[in-house]
Amino acid sequence: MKALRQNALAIPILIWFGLLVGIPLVYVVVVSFLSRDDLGNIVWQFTLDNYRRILDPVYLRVFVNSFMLAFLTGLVTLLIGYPVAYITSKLDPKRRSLAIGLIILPFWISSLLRTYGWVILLGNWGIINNVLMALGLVDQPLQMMYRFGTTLVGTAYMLIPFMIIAVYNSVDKLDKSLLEASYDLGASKRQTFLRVVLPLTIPGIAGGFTLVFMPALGLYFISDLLGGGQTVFLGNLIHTLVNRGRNRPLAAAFSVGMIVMVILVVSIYSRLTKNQKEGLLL
Amino acid sequence: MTKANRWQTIYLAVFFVILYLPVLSVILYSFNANPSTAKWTGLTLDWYRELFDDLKKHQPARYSSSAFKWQSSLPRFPLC
Amino acid sequence: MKKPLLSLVNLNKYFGDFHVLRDISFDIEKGEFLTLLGPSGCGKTTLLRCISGLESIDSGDILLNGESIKDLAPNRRNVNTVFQNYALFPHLNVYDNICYGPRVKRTLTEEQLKEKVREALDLVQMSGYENRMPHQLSGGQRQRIAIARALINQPDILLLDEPLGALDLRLRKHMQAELLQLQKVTGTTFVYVTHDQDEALNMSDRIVVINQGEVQQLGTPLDIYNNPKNLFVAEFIGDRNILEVDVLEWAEGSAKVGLGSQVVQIGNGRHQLYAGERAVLAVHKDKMRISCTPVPNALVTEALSIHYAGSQIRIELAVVHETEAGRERITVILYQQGDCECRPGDTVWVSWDADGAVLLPLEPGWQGRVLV
Repeated sequence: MKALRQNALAIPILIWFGLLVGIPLVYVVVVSFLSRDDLGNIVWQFTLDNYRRILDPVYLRVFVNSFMLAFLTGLVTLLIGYPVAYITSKLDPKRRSLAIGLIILPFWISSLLRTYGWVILLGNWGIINNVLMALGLVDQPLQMMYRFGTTLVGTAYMLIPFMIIAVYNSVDKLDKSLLEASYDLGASKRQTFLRVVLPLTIPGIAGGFTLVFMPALGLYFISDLLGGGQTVFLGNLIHTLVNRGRNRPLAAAFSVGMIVMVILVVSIYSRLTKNQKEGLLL
Repeated sequence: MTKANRWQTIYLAVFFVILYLPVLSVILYSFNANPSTAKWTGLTLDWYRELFDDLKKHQPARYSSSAFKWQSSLPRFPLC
Repeated sequence: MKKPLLSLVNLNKYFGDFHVLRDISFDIEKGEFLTLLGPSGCGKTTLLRCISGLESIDSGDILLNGESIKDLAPNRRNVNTVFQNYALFPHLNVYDNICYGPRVKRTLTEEQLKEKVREALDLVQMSGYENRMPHQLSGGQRQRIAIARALINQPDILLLDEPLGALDLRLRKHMQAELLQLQKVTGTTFVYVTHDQDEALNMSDRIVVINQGEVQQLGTPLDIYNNPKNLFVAEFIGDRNILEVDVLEWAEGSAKVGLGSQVVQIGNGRHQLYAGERAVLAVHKDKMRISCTPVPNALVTEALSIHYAGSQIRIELAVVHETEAGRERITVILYQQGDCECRPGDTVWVSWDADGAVLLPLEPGWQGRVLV
């Protein structure tokens, strides 16, 4: 009874959550077990056919592609973003807020527009090729568009602020006297980084990775614009199945597969941070 | 904690340049006289003129054509 | 002549425009327990950090075994610090925390380390705690691990920055004794920072009193307690009545001073003063006596109040002057009720032991007079 009263304030939030997240989720799961008629309408007939189909090697390849893209995006944003977060935390307060502002600012610009910026930069007749040719470094335009790498650049670019902010928060929380103790005990800066800073910022790294990985699985307009459909990702496939293929049950099955991947990553994340919390309670 | 050194400051500066490069490219090409992004044929303000003309013609500017397109692309799930 | 272990030579340090350390010069001998004592913000912790290398210095030099270490990074100096908040690595257990120094310097094999850690834990009476995480330890236990982690490196000097500040009084007393024992057993030179004068007086071989970035006095606890060099030390160390007086006669070893119309003879006259000068007379509150009948060389006072506080009796008195204005307050602390059982309003004669009083030059701007 007491617990109920204490949690009463959470009830409206839970209702909203149920309406906005729970119902669509259940809907997707239910649809993934249904069939469709020739016109693409959903038919109330239970089937496992959709799941059988996504295990087809052609479709499994799409899962692998998406996983690779999301994983590499996490890796790239970590490698580039960690130093940014680390250096930012060492700036004096005024410059630090400026840097954080600059990192967050692109969020307020349409992501479609920013992706389009890469098209202008990387296109065969784009800025980079024009500059390279004007300088005489290359004879003909470099083919930079429509590759897996281009999609990776675009996705990493779109999501790197999440990584930086997550890592920055954990670097900033770091007790500076631990670094001093490390130097005092004879460690070099490099040793201090590897033995103290890095292990203590694992929660930030894991958090950033999760925040980047999840949307990277589903983004489809970046691979449409920059990848040119050369590599098929889950997002594109689902998008196509719903809008053109008119096969919503199969799209739903893919969505469930994607959700399973996300749950996998989140559970790894929570395990990583749980171990860490024990040590961080000092 | 030690202050950021020179190399670190340079790294940060390079990062911010790359972060804003695509945005700046889009802004730059909004002044391109050629309607294609593949060619640069000189500066123009034509696109801005057209934009403001458009805004005047369609009084409620909020309902820009892109919003209509967005609506029509909404997945139509049957209510079951 | 024996070379000192560590020499500070005209050390200066600024934080922006703020002159934190002013021309600090003194030597630290091998094996001693030296305390840096001063109020908060006096620069004592900064001085410690300059020795460890965590702060750079703006001018002057620091010599360890005769060699300048002022340009060496902290990881290249053979000194270790016990931090105020212990700074144990939260992601490492006790064993790995203690191993940190030897491992990063690669001085010992893992096999040798095992033995060394066992010894170190034995020394701080924490055997069996190898696998605990820092957050599973109490404040006192963390303290000991921090000490073991520093001592395993066999530093030339162990720097301790208010290490007992976060502990409760009982544990503090206990750890004081343990630290002393540890220092004796290991023979390591300790440089200890504190703002607690009892701690400093109890533990140190020598004390450096610091105020506003300047060394005020350096000496043994007894010397500093009994013979303060200036007004700051007199006020900061011990609990004294400080009275502004006129110097009437002055000679090496004795002086005659006047307080209003009252005149007393002082045995202690080591600070050069001249007749006609204003000076201060500082007397330990617990080295004063009272009498209900006139005694020679005493101040005539009026009793204001008497407090019984456990083992001690505090008596508040006011010096009797011809006019009522500006009567100085004197506090006397007795540990036994003497012959004189005064009541508020009674006239009382106050005298003191010769070694309890000191006559010092008045410093310009001094505002410490306590009036009734």
